[in-house]
Amino acid sequence: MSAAALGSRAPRGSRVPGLGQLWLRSIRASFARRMAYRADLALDIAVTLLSELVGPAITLLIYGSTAGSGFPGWAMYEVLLIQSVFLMSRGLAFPLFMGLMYGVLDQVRSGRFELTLLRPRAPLLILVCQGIDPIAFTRLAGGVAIFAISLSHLPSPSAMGIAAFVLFFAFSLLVLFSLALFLSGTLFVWVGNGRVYELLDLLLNFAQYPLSIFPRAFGLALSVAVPVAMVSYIPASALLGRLDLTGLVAVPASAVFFLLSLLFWEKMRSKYTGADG
Amino acid sequence: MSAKMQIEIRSLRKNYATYRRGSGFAEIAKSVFAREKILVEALKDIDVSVEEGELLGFLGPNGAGKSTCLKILTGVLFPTSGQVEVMGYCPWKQRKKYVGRIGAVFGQKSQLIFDIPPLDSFLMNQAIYGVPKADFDARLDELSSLLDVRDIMGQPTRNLSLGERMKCEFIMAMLHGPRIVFLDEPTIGLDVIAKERIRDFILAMNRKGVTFILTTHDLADVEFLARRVIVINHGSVIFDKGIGSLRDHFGSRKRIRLLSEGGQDALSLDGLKATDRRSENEVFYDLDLSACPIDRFIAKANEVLRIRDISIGSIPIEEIVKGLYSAAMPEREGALP
Repeated sequence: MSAAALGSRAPRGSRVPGLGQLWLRSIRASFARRMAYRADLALDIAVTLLSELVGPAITLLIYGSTAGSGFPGWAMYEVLLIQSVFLMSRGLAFPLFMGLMYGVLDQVRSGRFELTLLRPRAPLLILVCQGIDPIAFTRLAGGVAIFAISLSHLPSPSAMGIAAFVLFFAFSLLVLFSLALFLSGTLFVWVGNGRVYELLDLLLNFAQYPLSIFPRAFGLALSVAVPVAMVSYIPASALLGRLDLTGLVAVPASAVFFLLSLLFWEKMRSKYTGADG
Repeated sequence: MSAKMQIEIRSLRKNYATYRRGSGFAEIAKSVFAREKILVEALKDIDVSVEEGELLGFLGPNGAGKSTCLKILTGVLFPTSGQVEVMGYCPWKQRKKYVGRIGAVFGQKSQLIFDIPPLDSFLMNQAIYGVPKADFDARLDELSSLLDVRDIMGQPTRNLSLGERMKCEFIMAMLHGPRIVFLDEPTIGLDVIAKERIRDFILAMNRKGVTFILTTHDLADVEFLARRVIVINHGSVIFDKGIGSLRDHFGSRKRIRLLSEGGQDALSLDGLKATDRRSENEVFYDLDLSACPIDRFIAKANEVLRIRDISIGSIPIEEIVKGLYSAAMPEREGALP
């Protein structure tokens, strides 16, 4: 094996055709990694399922406590539908790309981000692939179950409503990805700031409830400035036939939010200075 | 630039800012609001050229600028000013294209996925680098047999010994067929057998034309592997010559152990300096050959002593390198050997 032979078939830059293989290998590696510690896996699944159901459980308690209690103008199954969309969106985002946040947190703190920069791929792609966690799809199960139960107690959505829901649900994932980019981007400068998860939870708490319960200006901010309303409220509203103008404004706002998050992440990445001399 | 030149570094400078604060409570509290900023000149006008197929030792004390230089060469950091061209690429401007053609092994940063077998990590790298299956299989076959790790590639990485893990790190770094491999402390913590295996592997790959840039504090690695040595200190290159020149850097000298029947006080010659008196009869000397050739020393020793045993060897490279490091530290006057 000569040097020429060693190097002759090395990849030429980014190879898009290999993206699928990279993704599948990442899933396989992550699955194997999680399976290595079975007790942790079982506990993780149980705790995740229970913690994800806290929001819907509170809704059931509120609506079931006394007659007439609840969110004004919203029936219990409508609120549960919003929360189930929230769970489904998280149920896809966490296994697919939210691991990015831990990846940046861990690698920047330890200096291992340099190994990611040594790969002939976009660092963001590598971090997303390394953060894939197929076991986190269990989050999705609770969401899908509550979604099905809620829909069975509500009038059938129109075809237009279903189409809008599918579109908005894609935007929901885009907003979650943008949040992951913004929060993980800060970790290149605020090294080791484990509070980003609390910040994420804080922001996403607003996504679990009907927008109408918040003051109007705040609701508008949640649709346009930091469009977390797109995570669950707007897609669910489309399915319920209750979509208003705010929902439509949130679409371009989410797209701009995503572009800004990408620019922010790249800008922050360029500030990476390493962990040792 | 010569056709065989692989790395060209010209006037490379890197400055970065860091912060200083004291350890007292008041100083810690103050640092929350205002920190004292310090500008560090990590690299000062570095000029280095490396030819294809070289095996270069890159030395320097902690904080000398080695890691910074290595990070710039691997495209991880960009410099404040200066030019770097490696295989025709500017590492930090053409990072994605460039890093597909280099490899790196870090003794203290594992590229393997800890919880799963090395083979799974190799397959991940195959996907990341887009290595065709036939090439991947052939290289894995050759590398695993050279390093004798076929039987352990299927065991979880966390269950492997440090030596086994390091061998797998080398496979990780070589599977995509890099032309240049950067090694940062590749034998740290390894036992003598594992070190020997790794060194043999590096030499075998080098014979096939792979260029190695070796950064280490283990000077035995340098002695065994490197044909050329660059020493960097305080951000500047203070030595850049062959390993033979390094040995003679402070003059051509020999280390002599002399065991005699009686005391050795009578033995006195120009250029002869006793460095360690183990006993009346056993003394270690450093002999400056420019002042006193070895035959004259032996003749004189025979004349004034009854020699029971004698061994003549080179000055240990550790002492020479220590001298180089000290020579570049003006605050440590008198530290020259």
